Formats: sequence, C-alpha cells, structure tokens
Amino acid sequence: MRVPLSWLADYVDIDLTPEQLADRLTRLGMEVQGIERWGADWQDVVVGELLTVEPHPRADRLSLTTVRVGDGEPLSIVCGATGDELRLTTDAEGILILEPDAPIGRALGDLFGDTVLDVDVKPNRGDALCLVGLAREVSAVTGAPVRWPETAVSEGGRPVSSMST
Amino acid sequence: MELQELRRDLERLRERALADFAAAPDLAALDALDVAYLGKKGELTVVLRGIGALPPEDRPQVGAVVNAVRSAIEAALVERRAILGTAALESRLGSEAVDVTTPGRRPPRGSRHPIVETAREISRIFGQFGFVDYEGPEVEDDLTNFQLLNIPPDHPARDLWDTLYVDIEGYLLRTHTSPGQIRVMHAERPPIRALLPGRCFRYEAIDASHQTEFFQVEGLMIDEGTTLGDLRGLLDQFAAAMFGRDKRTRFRPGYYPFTEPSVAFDVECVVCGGVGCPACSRTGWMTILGAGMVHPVVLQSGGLDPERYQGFAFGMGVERISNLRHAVNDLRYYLEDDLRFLEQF
Repeated sequence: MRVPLSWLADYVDIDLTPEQLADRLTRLGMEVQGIERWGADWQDVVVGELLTVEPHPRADRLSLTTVRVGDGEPLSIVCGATGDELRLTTDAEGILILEPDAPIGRALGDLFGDTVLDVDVKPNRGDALCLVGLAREVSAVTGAPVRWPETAVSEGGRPVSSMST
Repeated sequence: MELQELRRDLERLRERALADFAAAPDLAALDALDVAYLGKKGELTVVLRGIGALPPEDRPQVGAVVNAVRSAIEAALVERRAILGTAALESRLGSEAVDVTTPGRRPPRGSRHPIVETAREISRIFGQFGFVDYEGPEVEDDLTNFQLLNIPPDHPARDLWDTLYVDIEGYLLRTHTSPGQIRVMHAERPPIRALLPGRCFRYEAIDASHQTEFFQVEGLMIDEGTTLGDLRGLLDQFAAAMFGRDKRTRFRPGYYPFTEPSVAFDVECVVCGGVGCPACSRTGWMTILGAGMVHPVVLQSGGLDPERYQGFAFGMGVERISNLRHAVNDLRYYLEDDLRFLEQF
C-alpha cells in the first residue's frame, strides 16, 4: 500500500525521518519496500503572482507576462499559455493555477512535494490497509497518540431491524 | 687388351667409383651405384671375368690390381653408406621428435550446476543437525499444497501465490515445498527433522528476480516442546555456516498462513556488511528465508496433536542463496544453459 507521509501525518505525529520510520515499520512487520520522494526536482520551480499579460510582440501564439516572485523586480516571462487561460479559467493545459493565498516565491516542492512509503501489508492485517490503520501502527512504534478521524453521524429514519427479518 | 691399358682403365674406374660414391645423395642412390659397379653386370665384375681371356702369365698381376680396386671400392661404399645412414637417422630423429616438455592437453571436465551445489550445501549444513532429506512430488493436489496448510480456497492469503494448474481437476504444480511438511508428518512419527528441497512453479512474469520455475528448500522440525528459540538457534548456525560468523542476524514479524508466529529471517548484507548499499536497498539487511512455528491447523493436517507436539518450519529460495554466495544478480542465468555461465562454477 502506498502511504503519503503528508496524509499519514494527519492522523499521527511523525518525528522520524522517512528512513527511520521505514526501518521501524519494517521491524514491526509492516515491510517497507520502497521510499519515493516527490518534489525533490521541483525546488527551482516557485510560486509567482501574475501581474500583467500581453500578447507577445513578436510571436503569435505566445504571451509576454510580468510575474512577481518575491521582493525583487518582477520578472518578464514568456509563456505559451493564452491570455484567457492566464486570466480566467481554472483548468488550463500546462498551467497550474494555485489558490490566491499561495505564498509567493515558495518552491513548488515545499508546497506539493511528498514522501511516499510503499508498505507491503500482509493478508492477515486487513486493518492496516488504510491510513488510520497504519497510523495506529506508527503509534505503536513511537508512542505518539492517534488522531482519530471524526466519525460523528447523524442518525435518523427507521431502525434497520424493522426493515428485515 | 694391353696390360698397361687395363691398368689405366681400372685406375680410372676406381676414381670414378669413389667420386660417384661421394656424390651420392642418399642410400638409394648409393645402392644403385653399388649394383652398377659391383653387381652381376657391374663394371668391375665384367673386367674380372675378362681376366680369363688374358695370357696366363698376366692373370695374377691383373687379378691383384682388380682385387685392389675392388677392395678400395668396397671400402668407399661402406664408408659412404655409414655417412649417409647417419645422416638419414639424424633427419628422421629431427622430424619425428616429440617435445616431451610441452604441457599436456587438459581433458574437458564438467561441473555441478550452482543450484545443485547450493542445495547440497544447504543439505550438508542442516544434515549436521540431524535433518534428513525428503522429496515430494512436483505435481500436487490443491489440498496438500494449500488447504491442509491453512490456506482456504477463497481466503485473501491465496493471493500470495500465482498458481499453475494442470488439466486434472484439483491438481496443480506445487507453488512451494511446504506441502512436503504434510507428507512427512504422515510418513514419520515425531521427532521429525526433515529437509525438503524441490522445484517449484508459479505463474510469474519473468524478470531478474522472478521465474516460473525455481527451487526451494523446506525445513521442518517437530518434537515435544520445540520452541521459537530452537528455530533461531538453528537458523543462526545456518547463517554462520553459509555467510560467515561475522554477520549479525535478526527476526522480523512476517506472515504465512501455515506458521504462527511467522518471521522473516535477515542476515547482514553480504555486500556492504550492514552499512547500506544498493544491493540491500540501503537497509543493510537481506532477507534469506521465511519461517515460523508450525500452525496448529497444519499439525492437525499432519495427524499430530498440537497440544503434545510443537514444531517450526522454514523455507528458502535456492536461487536467492546462490545469488548471495556467488554475486549473481539475475536468476534467469540458472536456467539458460549458457556454458559461459555454468563453467564458472
């Protein structure tokens, strides 16, 4: 089972490095077969704020933009996206449009990167085939408490027992 | 003919003969000259016969000269024959000589297949602990290969094996050597120490670490009061014998339907010694076999009372062990029949 650590962290605090965590889980019986790091090669891609968009003076299908990426001067960036894409739509090819509160200048790896553990969950541990189940395993290893997801349900309607014999 | 003239002729004959002999290239030519001069129709013989035509008072003188010439010719022949004979012998010795100092040609020798060699070594090591070799069938029935080993037909645990079936209902190619445990328990009364090497079959995509045909060795020990500690002790000895006394070992929790508890048995990486390297995925450990305490259901399948008898079992892939011993990184080599690979063992 593939376990993104960012998601696992929702249910239990993890103070170990991915390698340390993998080792502890393996020794517990949850064999970690691989560790994937996503985003390591996105460190040079940063969040920018689009300030202006114009059609490129010398190329039909290109746009010329100015983008703020931090405290310095805004950058002139040539871009293959059309003005419409940049201005309005939320699904655009090749352009990732972020939430308005995305921190300017932050590396994309920091925002969207993750580490994924490939855990070989054996057939006798169906309870560990979910993030919460693995969080419980991590808790067994580290002692950190599990933050159980909210499972409040509103009950109503006919009792099920009245619906069948 | 005048006596003087005769004398002169004889003298010339003698000179000619000696010159011819000296010029003779080989024994065959010399023999021909021999006949030409001294044979029945030879020159000298003709002269000798002609003595009868001479006046009687001249005959002794001529006879003496002729005999002198004949002696000289005969002597020259003997001498030349000796020289040519020696030369011929030398020539033959030179051309027919055998250099007895050249190294011999090594006759080709076969060698054991690394799988056979490794399986034999495994048997030898466990043999020292009283384990006896048994063989089970390669075509098994579903009962013995799965159900009697606590693997029900529709249980998720079945997914651990991709089975090859044969065209006889209820029969398959064994996916592991574990069925042998059932057979041994029916064949022998405890105490049992059995080793079961054998060829196994799985429906796998073939790559560097998977084959459709491969070899396993199963081990089984059953006695009254057998413990997990006994298992660890035995496996530690095996690891020391196979990989060296300097390598640490460990158990980690595992899962097999036919053992409870189940363990994976790891040895410190044979490549990096535990430091961490690509061969061990940077963990420093290599799993060499799975094992565990025989599940009560399996003991019952074997007709034994789990309250009275306990046991442990282990199973290892022979290719895996051989890979680690011989630094082979692709188990497909074992079945390719490539002499360039096999000759190295």
